[in-house]
Amino acid sequence: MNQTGPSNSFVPAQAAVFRVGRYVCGLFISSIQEINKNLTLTPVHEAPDYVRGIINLRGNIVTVIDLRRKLGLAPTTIETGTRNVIVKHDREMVGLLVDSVDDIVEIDRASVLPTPAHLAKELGDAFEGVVPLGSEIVAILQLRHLLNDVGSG
Amino acid sequence: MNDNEDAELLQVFLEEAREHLDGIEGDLLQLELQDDLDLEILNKIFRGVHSVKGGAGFFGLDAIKGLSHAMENVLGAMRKGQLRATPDSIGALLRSADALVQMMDNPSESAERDISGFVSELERIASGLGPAPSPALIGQAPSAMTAVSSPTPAPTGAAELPLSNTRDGRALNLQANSTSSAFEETSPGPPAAKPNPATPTTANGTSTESSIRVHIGILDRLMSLAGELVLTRNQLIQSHEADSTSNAEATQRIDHITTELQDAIMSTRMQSIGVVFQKFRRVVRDLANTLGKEVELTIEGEEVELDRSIVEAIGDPLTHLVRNSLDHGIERPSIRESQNKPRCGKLRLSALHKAGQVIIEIADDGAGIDPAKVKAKALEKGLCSKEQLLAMSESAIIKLIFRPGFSTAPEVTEVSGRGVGMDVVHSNLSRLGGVVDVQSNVGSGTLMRIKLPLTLAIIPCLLVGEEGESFAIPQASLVELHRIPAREVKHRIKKFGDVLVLRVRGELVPLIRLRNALRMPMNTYSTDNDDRLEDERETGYDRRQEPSTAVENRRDAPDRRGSHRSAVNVAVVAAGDFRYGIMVEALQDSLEIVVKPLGRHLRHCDSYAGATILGDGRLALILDVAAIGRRLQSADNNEALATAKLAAQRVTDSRDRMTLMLVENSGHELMAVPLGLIERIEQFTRSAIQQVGGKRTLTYRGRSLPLLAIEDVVGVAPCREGARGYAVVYRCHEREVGLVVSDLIDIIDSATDLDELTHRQPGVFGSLLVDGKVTLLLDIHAIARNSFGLPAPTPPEAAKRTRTILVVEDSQFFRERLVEFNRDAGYAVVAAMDGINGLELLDQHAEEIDLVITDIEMPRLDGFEFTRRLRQDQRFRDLPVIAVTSLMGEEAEQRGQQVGLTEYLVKLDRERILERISYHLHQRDEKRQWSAA
Repeated sequence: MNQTGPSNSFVPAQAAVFRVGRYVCGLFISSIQEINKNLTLTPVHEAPDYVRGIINLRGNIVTVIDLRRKLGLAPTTIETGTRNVIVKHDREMVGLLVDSVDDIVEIDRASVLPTPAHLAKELGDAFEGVVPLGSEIVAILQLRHLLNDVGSG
Repeated sequence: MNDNEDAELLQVFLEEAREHLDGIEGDLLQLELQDDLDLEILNKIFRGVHSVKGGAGFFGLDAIKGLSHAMENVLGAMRKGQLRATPDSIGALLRSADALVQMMDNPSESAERDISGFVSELERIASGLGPAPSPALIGQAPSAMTAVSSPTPAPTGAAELPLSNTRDGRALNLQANSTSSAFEETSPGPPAAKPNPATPTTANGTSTESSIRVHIGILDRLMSLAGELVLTRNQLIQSHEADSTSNAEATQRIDHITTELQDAIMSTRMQSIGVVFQKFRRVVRDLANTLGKEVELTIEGEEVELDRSIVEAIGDPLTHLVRNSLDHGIERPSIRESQNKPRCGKLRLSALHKAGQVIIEIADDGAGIDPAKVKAKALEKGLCSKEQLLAMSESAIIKLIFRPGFSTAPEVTEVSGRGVGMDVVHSNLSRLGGVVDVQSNVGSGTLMRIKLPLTLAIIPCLLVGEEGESFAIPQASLVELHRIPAREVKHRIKKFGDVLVLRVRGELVPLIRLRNALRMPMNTYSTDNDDRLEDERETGYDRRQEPSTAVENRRDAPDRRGSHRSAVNVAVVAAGDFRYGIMVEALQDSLEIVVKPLGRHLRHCDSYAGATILGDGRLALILDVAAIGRRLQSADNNEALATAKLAAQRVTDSRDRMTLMLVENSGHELMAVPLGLIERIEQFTRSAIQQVGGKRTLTYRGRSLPLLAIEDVVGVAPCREGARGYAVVYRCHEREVGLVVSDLIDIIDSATDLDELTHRQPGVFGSLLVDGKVTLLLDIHAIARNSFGLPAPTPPEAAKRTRTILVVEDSQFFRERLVEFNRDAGYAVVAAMDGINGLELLDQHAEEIDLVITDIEMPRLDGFEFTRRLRQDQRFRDLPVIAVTSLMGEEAEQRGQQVGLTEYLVKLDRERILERISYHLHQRDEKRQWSAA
């Protein structure tokens, strides 16, 4: 990876930036398996409401989670920009439904700031922290929290 | 070596040691059986114990080391011919091996275990017949790995390095940490033979020589990749078919390779059943000793392969069955001798492939299962009624042992009666997709036959469709499929309380719509609601759903008329003993699917057993029939289900039921008329009634209908004078008459437990309770006769000789009616309670009986079966048989024709019945005269 910053403490890492409702979210690509348009969802009735269904990812059954629901927003409406961000968490592949994927950027891990109070209050531990990117604030998702608490919506 | 590595090494050692000990058990048993000492086996045992000892020494597990050393001494003495393999010595070795296994399970605490008892026993054995061989081996190679590299000076000179380990990934790892001489083999001493990897000679040959350990996760991954490859191959073939210019040869080759690859990968999951069977040598030996029985065990088909998950799960049910055979089946030697059987009982354990399934048999030549005892037990436990038992075949009775709550052992014994019954075996096997069957002959033995699928990873399923989605139902839990034509829906599917039930051959099966079972949102309101049962939306399932607007809309939908324009599909499934039907929109394919687990976020969705990928890449959820069934029985629905069961009981007792029309005359007295007798109902206005010569007539459509008033004959209040009234029209003496009532209340299905005394009077059969109200059951024919002053009908041609009629009817009420009016008509009557009774009477009075009247719904033997059997008897081939029923149906009539019923009539239609009796008797006379002439 190229050193683009002058500082010694610069810890660069690539992150995907995507939109989930009114939030701009980021996820370091080290935790991303792939991003695709595989949205042939098979609904699973009786599943928690944040589960949109399951997909066939090359022979694997992958649960797809509606990130908007997870962040306390209205369900995602699937449009042309909608993407499935496949992450591997706890030895299981899970798909995260996002409204659109904007970019892959380099983020200095050291520059991740604590989640602002208003966000933290709303969403608890959903975010690891935030990074300013241009005019926007990218909220880095905390997968551990998002994918661990099974059962709650 | 750091601690981590140490721990890892210890694990490797323990794993290996367990493997050695597993093999030892079988080998020791084999030694015991053989007259001549098999040195090869003995050496193998020796090597196993020796490696255990060496490893234990290395890890400082002194207790394990000490015990294995003592064992080694005994084995060494045997090898030298100083000691024979007696049951005594083998028994001691087996017990010691068990102790080793136990210590191995908890190595850190093994040091505290007192092994002196085992050691002294072994020492006694070893010393009893000569000096123990060199004890110098103890602790000789404390620093070498499993003593593999120690140039053991032991005179016995075993092949120190078990060859089997060298191919083992982890074993190699272990040796890499050891000395470089790990692969050197000390030359085997004279009596020791090298194990030959190519020919595992003993039956127990743990042929790890040609295998490696692969993590099961890798195999699963390979499996799913192969599955994916198959799908891609299919797509390739399809596109090739569409476009002939592509490379046909390559496509074909890929096709072949893919198929082979899939087969090969599938086979990696297979394991031979011998792994399980071997354990039984010991089980049978020990158990026979405990029980004081002599048993010879034969094992066949150890090489038969099954999916490893099945092999793992089959052990417990098999153990239970084997224990049962030994405990209850095979008799004590003294008893066997007294019955002229060989002292030694035979137990055969076998496996074979048949039609894509594996069949495992457990056969003994013991006492067999006595159906009489099973019957008694079933009665005592209330599993069956006497009537049910009478109707059951012997094999069906024996199968009762698989019912929950059944156990044939008179007392709980240590061996097999430990609270777990055969029902557990049965349900465990069902879970594996297996079926167990039993055949038994008293005195000669029992055969248990288990059929199992080859694999659980690929299961045959039925694909069903609901709301445009596909779901898979495992064939193993599927009982039958029904497609109910639109016109039969109303008749076959009923609602009792809140529960929908399907009538299947007289039995009622609770029904649930798949959409409701899964609480699917009803979002596609417009497409297909015609074929939906209106009722089902009112079931307990719906109530739990939030009253969405969609549901409300449906309720008020204009096309909700209760008529069903399309057929209803039902898959009847069994979850243990609970049978229920799942209603689906479409029954699709039957296919083999690969089961894939669902992710953690879906683990609370217990309606599903997993998911699968269909041929076109779509996904289908696999239904967990047991879980859905449990919910159908759960608290919310308990009440509803109880109602359904009650209703089911009532309906199964339909032989004692009839459909009645409830009418009112004065506004406060309820009366009932058997619906079957009514031709039609006419509504009239008072002005249309004409009074002529004291008789009232209703003129309508240019005809006149004589009207009868109930109060003229029966002591009830006169008909309320209103502007309108109803005439219940029926036939009497070849003409139509109308019974005047003021109101029609309802049509009900009622029991016939009739009070025939309290309201006894002309024109009344008796009284019954309808919703707590006393209701008079009217004898409308008597009312007509009384009104017109007519005598009771007699057969037109008063019989020249007395004719005898056999009446077969289980309901007392109907039987008495039939007997009564036939006697009144001048016939002699013989009455039977049910079909079996009827056949007996028929046989006794074969010459006298001229005609039979039978009910259809009867216990033990119903009217259809009664007729069928009767027709098989040459004497009764032309005997007129009239069925009387309260329910007429197309289906029943067809069935009646098939079994040879002469005619179908409605119960209580006295006129018509007598008329037809007379007609058939006449026909019969003519036929006889004609054939006599």
